[in-house]
Amino acid sequence: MIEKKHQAGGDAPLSFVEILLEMNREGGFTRSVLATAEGLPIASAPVNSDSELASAMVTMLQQVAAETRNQLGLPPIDEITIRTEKKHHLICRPIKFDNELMILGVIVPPDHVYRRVTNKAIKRIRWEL
Amino acid sequence: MTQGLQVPEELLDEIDYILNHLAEKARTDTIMLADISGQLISIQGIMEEGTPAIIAALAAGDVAAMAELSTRIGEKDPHGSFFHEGETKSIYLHNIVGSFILIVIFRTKTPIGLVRLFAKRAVEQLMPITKKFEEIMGPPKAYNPDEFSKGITQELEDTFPDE
Repeated sequence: MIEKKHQAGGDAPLSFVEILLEMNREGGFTRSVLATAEGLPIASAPVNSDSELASAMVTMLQQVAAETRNQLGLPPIDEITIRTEKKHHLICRPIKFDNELMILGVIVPPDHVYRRVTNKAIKRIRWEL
Repeated sequence: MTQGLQVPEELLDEIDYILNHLAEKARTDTIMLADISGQLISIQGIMEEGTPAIIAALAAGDVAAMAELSTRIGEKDPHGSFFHEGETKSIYLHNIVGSFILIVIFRTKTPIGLVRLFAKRAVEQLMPITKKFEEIMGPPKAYNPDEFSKGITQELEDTFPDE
């Protein structure tokens, strides 16, 4: 039996949290979360936010959207958007990789663009997988 | 450590590579792989508390109980995974096709989804290894509470010898 010492997190590659933090910084986003298809949190930024609730919510939106797509025979979903009266946006972007589905949820303040920045983050998330 | 299986080096390297990758990606404290009877095959990471052999044996008991439980509620495939969420540390156990048990110990601040995401991948990679393992080591022995009891008594005696 081999017993190897591993420094938890020490030499780990760029983490999902770092990707989300950088995306928030670049896009001026207030909050973001990366969740599994089951609604479990993978990463969130800021780190101390309630990631469990946010993950469950964005996954629920994704599931409703997927069901709607199925029922209406629409092509695959690229983005789900909720826009508030004060023009904040909640953006949910499904990320499919191999057999895995993840959801990136982002809260975008009014008058901020998000497509390019979220695309970049998705590319980096895929790279980390 | 006195317990553990003597697995061929080549197979162990494959297993260690997968476990090490999981440890790095999911940022876990300790990852163990045991056979279904609770004998330790490999360990990666830091074990601050507890004896790996005892943890592997207890995990086998838990997995056996959960398999029985899931059968009794009508589940056709009892090979699944489950979490124990602790105050500071959590445990994720995965029954890999009734041959291996993946034991992941991580801090509660580590997001569950992160562990699950990469553990699922590790399980997919470990699945083909179970066949090779069984060809070399023979078919898996089912969890036996009597053997477990003897094993844990022996381990406790080794850990705390009479003075």
